[in-house]
Amino acid sequence: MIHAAGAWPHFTAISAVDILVVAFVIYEFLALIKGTRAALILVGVTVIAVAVYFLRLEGLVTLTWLVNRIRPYALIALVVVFAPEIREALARLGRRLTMARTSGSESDAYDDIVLAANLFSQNQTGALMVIEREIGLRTYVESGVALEARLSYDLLATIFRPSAPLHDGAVIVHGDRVAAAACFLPLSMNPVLSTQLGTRHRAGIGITEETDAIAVIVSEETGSISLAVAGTIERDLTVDQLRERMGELLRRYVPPTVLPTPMTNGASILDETEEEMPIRTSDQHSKPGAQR
Amino acid sequence: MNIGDYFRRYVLHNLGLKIVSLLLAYGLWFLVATGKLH
Repeated sequence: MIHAAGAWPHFTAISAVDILVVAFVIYEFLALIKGTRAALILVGVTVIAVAVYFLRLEGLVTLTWLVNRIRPYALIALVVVFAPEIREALARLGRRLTMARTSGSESDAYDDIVLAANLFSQNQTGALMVIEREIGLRTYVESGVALEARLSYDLLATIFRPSAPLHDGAVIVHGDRVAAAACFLPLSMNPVLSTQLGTRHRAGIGITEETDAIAVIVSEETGSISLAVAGTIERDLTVDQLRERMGELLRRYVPPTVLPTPMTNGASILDETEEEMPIRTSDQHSKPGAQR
Repeated sequence: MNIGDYFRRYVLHNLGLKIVSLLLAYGLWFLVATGKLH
C-alpha cells in the first residue's frame, strides 16, 4: 500500500475504510467536546503544537530539547485533562453497543417532564429537573431528600410549588421514578457562560459537565425553558423543541402532545392542576398525570 | 421517519464537523501512508 516514503500513497478500498473509521472517531470526539471547556483546551493545545512544530523547523535546539523532554508526559497530561470527555465517550460507546433504549413507561414519564416544564414556564416557576442516563447520580441523590416516587406531572407540579419545602434544589429522575428532590448539584464554573445565567442554570449545566445526565431548567425570572447537555445549554426552547430534543437525547420517538391551555396570570400551580386539563397525546390517551 | 428527516438528522446535522473530521482523517492517513509521520 505504501510504495515509498514521500510518494503518493496507493488508495484502496481498505484505505477508504481506514479513513472513514478514523474520521468517525475524530467526529465523535469533536462532537463530544463541542461548546465545552475541553474545546478551548484543544484549541490551545493545537496552537502550541503547531507553534512548536514550526519553531523546531527553524533550528531552535533548546526548544527542541525541552519539547522532547516534556513530550512523554504531555500524553498523560492530555488524558488527565480530557478524562471526563474520554469517560463520556466510552459510556456513549457502551450505550450504543448495548442498544440501550428507554422503556414505554419511561417514555410516558418523560412526557410528564415536558408537560411540567410547560406549566412552570407559564407560571414562571423556577424548576430544575435532572434526568439520569448511563452514569449514576447517587452522590447527588444522597444530597437531597430521597423520594423514590413514581414520576408524574402532578408530583413535579407539587414539588416545585414555590411554598413547598422541596422546591429549592433539583429533582433527579431515575427511569420512571423521582429518585430525590431538593438535591444539591455542582455549579458550572465555565467562564464562557453568560453572566445572565443564575445559580439554577449553572447547577443544571454543572451536573451535565460531570455526568451524562440531561437537565431541564425553567427560569423563575423569565419562564424560559432551557436544556443542558454535556456542559452546554440550549436556551429559550419551546415545548415542542424540548420534546424533540429529549426524544433525540433519549433515543426514542416522542409523539406530539396537545398542551394544556395557558393559565391566567397569578394562578397557582395547584389551582391549575385541580382543574380538568385537556392533555392528550396523539393516540388520544389521556396523560396519567393529568387525569383527575 | 421519512427520508427528509433521516437526511436532516444523520447527514446535515453537524455537517461542518463531519467534513472537518473527514479532512483530518484523510490528512492523517496521507501523512502516515507517505511515511511523513512516525
